[in-house]
Amino acid sequence: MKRQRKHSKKRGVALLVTFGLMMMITVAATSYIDRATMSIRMARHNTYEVQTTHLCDAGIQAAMLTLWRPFKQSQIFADMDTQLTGAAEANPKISTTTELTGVGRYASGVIGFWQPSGDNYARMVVIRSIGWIDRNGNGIADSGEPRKTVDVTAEFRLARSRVFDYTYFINNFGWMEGFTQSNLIVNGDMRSNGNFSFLSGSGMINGSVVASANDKLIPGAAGLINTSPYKQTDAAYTSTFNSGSTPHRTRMRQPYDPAKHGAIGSATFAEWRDYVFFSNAQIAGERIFGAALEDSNGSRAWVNTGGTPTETMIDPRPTDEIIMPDLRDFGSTTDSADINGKRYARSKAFVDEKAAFLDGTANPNYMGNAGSQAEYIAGVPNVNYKGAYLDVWDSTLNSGAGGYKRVSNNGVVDSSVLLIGTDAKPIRIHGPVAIKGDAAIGGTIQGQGTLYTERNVHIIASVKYKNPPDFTGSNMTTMINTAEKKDFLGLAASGSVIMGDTTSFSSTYPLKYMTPPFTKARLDDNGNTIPAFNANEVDSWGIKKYQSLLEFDNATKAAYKSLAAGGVNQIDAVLYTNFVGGGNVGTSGGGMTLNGTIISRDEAIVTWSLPIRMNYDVRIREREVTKQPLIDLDLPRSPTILRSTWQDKGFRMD
Amino acid sequence: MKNLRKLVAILATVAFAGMCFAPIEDMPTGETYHPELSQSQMEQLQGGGVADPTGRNSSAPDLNSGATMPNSNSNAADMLSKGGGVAGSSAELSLKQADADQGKPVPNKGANFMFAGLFIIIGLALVMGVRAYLDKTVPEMPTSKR
Repeated sequence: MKRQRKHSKKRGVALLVTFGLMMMITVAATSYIDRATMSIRMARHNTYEVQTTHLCDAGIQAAMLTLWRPFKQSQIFADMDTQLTGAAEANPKISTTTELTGVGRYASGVIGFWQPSGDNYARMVVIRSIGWIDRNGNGIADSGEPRKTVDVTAEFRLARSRVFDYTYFINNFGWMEGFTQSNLIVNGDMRSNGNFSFLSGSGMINGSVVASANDKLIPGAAGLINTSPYKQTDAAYTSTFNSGSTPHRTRMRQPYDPAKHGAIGSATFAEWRDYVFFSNAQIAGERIFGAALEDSNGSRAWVNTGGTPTETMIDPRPTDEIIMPDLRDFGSTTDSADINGKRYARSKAFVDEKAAFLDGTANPNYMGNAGSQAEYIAGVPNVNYKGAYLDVWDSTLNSGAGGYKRVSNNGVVDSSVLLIGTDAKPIRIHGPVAIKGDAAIGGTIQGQGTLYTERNVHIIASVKYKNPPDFTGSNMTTMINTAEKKDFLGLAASGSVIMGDTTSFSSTYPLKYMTPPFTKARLDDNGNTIPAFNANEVDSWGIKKYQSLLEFDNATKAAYKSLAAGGVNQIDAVLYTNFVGGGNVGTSGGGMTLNGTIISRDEAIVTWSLPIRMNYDVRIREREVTKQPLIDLDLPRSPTILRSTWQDKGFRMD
Repeated sequence: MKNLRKLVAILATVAFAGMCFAPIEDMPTGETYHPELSQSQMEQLQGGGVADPTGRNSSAPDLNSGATMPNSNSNAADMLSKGGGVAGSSAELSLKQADADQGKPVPNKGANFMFAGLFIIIGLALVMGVRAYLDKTVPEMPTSKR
């Protein structure tokens, strides 16, 4: 009995020891398994998070592309407004979902859309994207599936196009052959969306030359400048600028003078740097100041005054292509006034918002003036009208005494129009005027405005400002204040800008350069082939592309032919076309001068007399300090997109 | 060899010129200059200048750039925007889930309480079981008789 009790006690201790040991082993084993599998679980968690992040990014990109493509094409906000108005978190717009095989799915849509206050050229878009691992394969993000949400805010903007920073811009190969320092003088910057080549010598290029890579050309362009063209030194340019015998010297950019324009880096310098010529380019304020060769190999300062050219690298970053604004969709002349609408609607909606000029004088066309409200006063066109208008002198009015006739109605001309001005009776323009058909123009023009044509602009005689700007002067503020009020003309064609007498164009000059094989096909942004421009093709208006509707119209054909016979030797205007800028110029002898800018896709200018002069009109240049040009007359704008924020809304697996 | 090089150079130049644009050339031979019109000549031509709006087909703008042609390539961007994208309810349901996810995560208190209760019950059961077993198997401690 005693022995048995002792044995029973031993058994109880063994149980407790076993129990304790088992507990310790269990805890140890559990801890070990937990530690051993933690890295696996963390790796899986991280993998899911990375995968869903990329899925979110794919969704964001897909939504952005869905919005960007039509915006880039139409270059207005009308479609975007229609599609996205009312977007909210609970009511996403343009939502879409896609599976990326082997990874997961994303769904994206717009959950926010608004127009920044007072800014007609921008729209803010909030895109939400959810990326998830679709474990159950139902195509929907469910709770319990690894998923991540990202919100991106993007700004879609119709920005002032950089093409207007140049006196010569071509959306193609740039090519100039056979010129010398004395027969081609360019006082301004030149740019091509392709290679830029100077062959058999070069003209005098007092400004930057820019080339950029472009794989949409056939063949694609590497974006290179082939050689250093001639350029004046600062001293030589200053001498030319100051010489009274230099033609059109008042239209040249001023040579940089630290005493007048401020020392490099100063506030005064920042104010005027975009308005002056500086021969030896350098980096100032993190961007190039002065004339440089800029291409895919970077930006170089250069010297070439006739000896051995030298180049100095100042910025190794390659250039990029600039998107040209698109003018194809004018809408209808019956569209209601809408500043956010298409061309006709915008011209109807235009009102002059400038109350006073920089020098403090009142703007007579300001929309707030009592005298600017009516388009006609006692039946006579009101020259102070706040809206867009276009007037020409008509010698048949008032029983043969003549008078001004307003050919526009609320900023729109409902047919093609022949515009002839003289010094005494100039063409009068104000604001952006849209024309259904062609505009043929020659002579003197007064006012500030832009002509938008649904077809061609024909320059059939020299076009000169009645009150041209004068960019000389010792006081820059005074000079700019005065220039702000001088005449300005933009000519923007949905078709082509054709110069010279189209009734005498021959297959050699200039049509050879407006037809294949000289013109080439190209690719659009989607890789589709755009046929080469062919001036001899008949377009939807029923005539060849280079011809003018006005040369066939009974009311205008006689005057058109008579005026065109004189030729074109000077153009004071900013020329813009999505197709060809070209024709016969200088046909009166004495050379050809462009005081402004020519921007085109294909260029086919045949110059019958030399020299050619190009002087950039600095008034359309956007200054860094104001982010505005001195004169902004609704010139074509380019679409841009800016991703402003990326907000990670979190990764979840619960 | 020298001639061959020349030929190659000429061919390269011609080929290069052939792909170029933007010619600026001199006056063709045999042509003459045409003087610009005087102010008075131009004044005589000023007559209103508006063409007959019904004179020609002006109903359709020339959209010949081909930018509206159907897509033919299959780059990544196309695939993203169009390749298999399904608009509509599935996407909206997923975005609603994303919307719901933006709320503060709700801690799973129920499960925690459940596990805590389970552990307590198991623990108590174990203690009770061990105690009952020990009561049966371990004799009581002898008490000393005085």
